[in-house]
Amino acid sequence: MHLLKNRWIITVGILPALFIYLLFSIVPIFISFYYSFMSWNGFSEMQFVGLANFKELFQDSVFWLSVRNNILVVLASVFGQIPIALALALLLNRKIKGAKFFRTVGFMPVVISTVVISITWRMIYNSEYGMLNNFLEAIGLGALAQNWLGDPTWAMIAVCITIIWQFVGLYFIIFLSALQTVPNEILEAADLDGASEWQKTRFVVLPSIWNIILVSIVLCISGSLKTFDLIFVMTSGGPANATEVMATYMYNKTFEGLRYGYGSAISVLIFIFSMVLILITTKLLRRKEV
Amino acid sequence: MKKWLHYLFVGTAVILISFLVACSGDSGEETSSGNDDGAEANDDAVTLEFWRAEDIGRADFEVFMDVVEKFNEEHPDIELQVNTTPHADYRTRLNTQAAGGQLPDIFQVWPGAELQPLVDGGVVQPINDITSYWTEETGLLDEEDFEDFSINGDAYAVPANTNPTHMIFYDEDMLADAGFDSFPETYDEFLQLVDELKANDITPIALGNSDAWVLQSVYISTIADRFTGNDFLEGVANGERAFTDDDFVQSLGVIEELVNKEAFNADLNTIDSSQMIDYFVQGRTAMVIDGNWGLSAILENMPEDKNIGIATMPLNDKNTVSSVAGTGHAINSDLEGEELEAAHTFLKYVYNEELWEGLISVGRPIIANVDIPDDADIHPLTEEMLEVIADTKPAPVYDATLTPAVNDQLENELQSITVGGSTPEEAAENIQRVAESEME
Repeated sequence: MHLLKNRWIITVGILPALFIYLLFSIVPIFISFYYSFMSWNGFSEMQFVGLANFKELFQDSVFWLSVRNNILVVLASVFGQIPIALALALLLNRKIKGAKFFRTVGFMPVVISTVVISITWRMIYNSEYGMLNNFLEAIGLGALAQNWLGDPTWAMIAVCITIIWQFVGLYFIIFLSALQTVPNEILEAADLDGASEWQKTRFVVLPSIWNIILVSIVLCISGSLKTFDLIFVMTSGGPANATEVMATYMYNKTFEGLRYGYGSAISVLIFIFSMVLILITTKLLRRKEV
Repeated sequence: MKKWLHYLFVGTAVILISFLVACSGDSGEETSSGNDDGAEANDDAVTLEFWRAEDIGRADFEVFMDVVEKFNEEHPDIELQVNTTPHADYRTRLNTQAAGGQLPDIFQVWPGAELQPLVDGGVVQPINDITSYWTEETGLLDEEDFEDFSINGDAYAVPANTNPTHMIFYDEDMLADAGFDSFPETYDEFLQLVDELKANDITPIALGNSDAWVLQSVYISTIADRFTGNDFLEGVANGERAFTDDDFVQSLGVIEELVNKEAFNADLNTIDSSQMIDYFVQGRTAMVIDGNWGLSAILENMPEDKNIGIATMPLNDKNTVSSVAGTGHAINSDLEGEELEAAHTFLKYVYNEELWEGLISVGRPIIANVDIPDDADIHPLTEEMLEVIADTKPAPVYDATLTPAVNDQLENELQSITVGGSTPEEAAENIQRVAESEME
């Protein structure tokens, strides 16, 4: 144990990882800050333009659309993934036939590569031969069939549903393992006191895993703020920016439009938004905890 | 005593980790340099890193790579490290690598607007010293053939083929059923054809615009030229013309009209350009509009009994088709001495009769003065397409002329028109706004 008491040893142990982390995660953030004041196409000399990139960005309607869409993704994740995952976990924590099977099925989307998920769902949503529309027609609800990803009004909803589906499994497993740490003695005591199943869940189980739920919500928010790969493959922000989120917009501007300065300015705003949102949520949720 | 053990443990761990880091650094370099089977063969060999976008299964890509492979076999003194990247990712990789100042020795480039930043940034060097090899020594190319790859009078790459970006492939039988024994000759007739096909419950045109470049490169580049004339983009660049000019807005109106007539498949924004070819080949639509490259995919997948015809858009009294040189290969500006010589040897070897004969045999309209080899087994459709192309006059391709930012906006606005987000007028204004901010 005295190993951990020696600060020097701890420092030496952390150094390699810290060095790599600083080099690849922290330093680039500051480089981005620097680039965001420049006009640069990646090839020619950089030109200092002051706050021009930010000025343009604040007037860029597509950027604000991407912010809105990103907030939608955050909301869908927090209010979709967490409750569904929690419900599933509570359900499968009991002795149900085939619980193991359902656990595996639930976790599957987390293991599948995002590209596979995106392409599969793109096919499911396809308006001409897609499974979803075919299914709706088969059950006589053909009128509900939509051009899911091609119609700007539906595209974002369709994408959000896929995102929920993709990550429910992750939180489900986290909650399930948390549920298994709830001490049996307390549950038995509750039984002896005549608590109903609902009361047991509400007053014993949920409070004891509340911390895990909080951590999951924070994870969920930060994860959705940087969402990129799924949307990039599924719609690449289209049609006509309808599913653009901040990260895809940043990517498009930087690498497709060859505007490294402007792209960096978007990154800086993503960074600021994320910090603010995470700070607010941790503050809010901490208060609830007390 | 125990304390020492702990020190020992931590020390070893640290050494191990730093060792691991060092190793991963090494292996990173190894993978980036690609194949190394030639390395042991000749230690004095000049090493050249060669990058190209990869189109596995496409005949012209394979023709090219065969020649490259043969070069490698015949030149033991030059070790060519070939590194290919899937087509869609190649540009991004090249741009990122260029921004980091780590370009390979020879790499695939696009002509015109895409070449400009590379030249401005000074990352490629002119090949003026060796162009006489083609223009004089072998006579395979003419001076003006280098134009698309020339910037400020300097040539940077050798052109291999022209790339007409607009061809209409149609199913002759479906058109006949709709009462058209030949392809419509006026735009009104074309619209009539669309109506007739709709009445027969056939989707007229397959379009896969999820990547957004199709409506720009294949459609607007040609359609707009029929309204605005050849010098429009030049005029926009020097401020004499604008995207808000009536004639350009009219050309956007053509897209809107076709969308409103439901001339396209409904999922046009969610399928890509190879899927649109599938729709056509599978008989789901009567036509597909794609670049000349679309033909190879059609030939490969079409049922034998399908009768296909080739045409261009009958619109206004011109028969222009947007066209630009296909890709070329530029030399890194850092190359000099032995390496530069090797790079020159490579270009001279690759861009030669064998390549051009191979390309024309698989249906690419080549630039060089090379005839179709007698023994070549050319598909009649390929011949038909080459004839159609020969009848047309070239027009600029938008993405080869506009800066990436303006082009990006144009593609977005076109997509927006297809979903009813922008009217042609609004779209034109938005494009013009970006064009003006770029000019500042």
